[in-house]
Amino acid sequence: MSTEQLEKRLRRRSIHRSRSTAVAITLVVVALVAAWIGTEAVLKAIGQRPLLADPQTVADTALNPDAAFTTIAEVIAAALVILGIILIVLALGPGRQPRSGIDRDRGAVVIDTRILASTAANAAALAAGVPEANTSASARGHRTQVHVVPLSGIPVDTHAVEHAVQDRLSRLGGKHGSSVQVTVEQKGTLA
Amino acid sequence: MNGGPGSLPVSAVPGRVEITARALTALARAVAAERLGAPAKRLRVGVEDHDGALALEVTGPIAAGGDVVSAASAAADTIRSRVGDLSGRRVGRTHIELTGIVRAHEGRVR
Repeated sequence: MSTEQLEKRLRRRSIHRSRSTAVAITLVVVALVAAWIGTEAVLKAIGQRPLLADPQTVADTALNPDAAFTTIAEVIAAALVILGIILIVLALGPGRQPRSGIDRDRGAVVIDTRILASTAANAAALAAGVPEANTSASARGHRTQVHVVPLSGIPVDTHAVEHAVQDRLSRLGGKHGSSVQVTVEQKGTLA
Repeated sequence: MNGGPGSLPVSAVPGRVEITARALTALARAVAAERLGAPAKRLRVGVEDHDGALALEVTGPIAAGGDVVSAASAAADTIRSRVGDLSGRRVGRTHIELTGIVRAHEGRVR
């Protein structure tokens, strides 16, 4: 594997959550069920009594439940549905961590999105001419939202701020700064 | 880079100039005292924000002589433009509440 591919892989693994925990738990459950069915099959073949219950009997009872067993079956079914939904979300979701990769010639560099947000807030404060405490920003993926509280009597040019934030973030490379949204508070502060 | 606050250019030196709310109030008080012809001690000045612009609220006496109401409204206009020029901020509205009259030749009027 070339260094470039390795770095790409490292960056991807750093930004996305690993699915190994969910996969391991699911496989353990599947292995236990398979082992139980195998054991029961062998016991039935040599004519011994079943270890826990005969799988055929279990299936029959579940398909034709009597009055008392219906409630338990419903609870178990609901739990299985929720578990299934959780597993599907874990399997198909991107599982992004609050991190972002940036372009560098050497090595895979990954930074926290809080750094992206404070970089955006700093650029916005400089462009708007307000103290840094008057700006706040949140970054999620490649989307950045900046909120500016203007000083009374000093109008804030939203487009200039947006441009400055895009300019600053685009230095990080990649798709950073491609989607910047600036909101300016109607009411300002005196200082 | 982009322009700084108001018409001030961004200098090469990093940093920024801040005007505190107390300084703005003191500035507005001095300007109001000058334009109304009343001692600054007897003026009460409030500075607030109104839709992103400064809003001045001046309470105090005005110098005697001529039409007091038109003098006060003329003073409101000049106070607004003068405070705006001096602080570099946009002044949205100026509200003047007259509480009395001061005479220039008398030391104190009670």
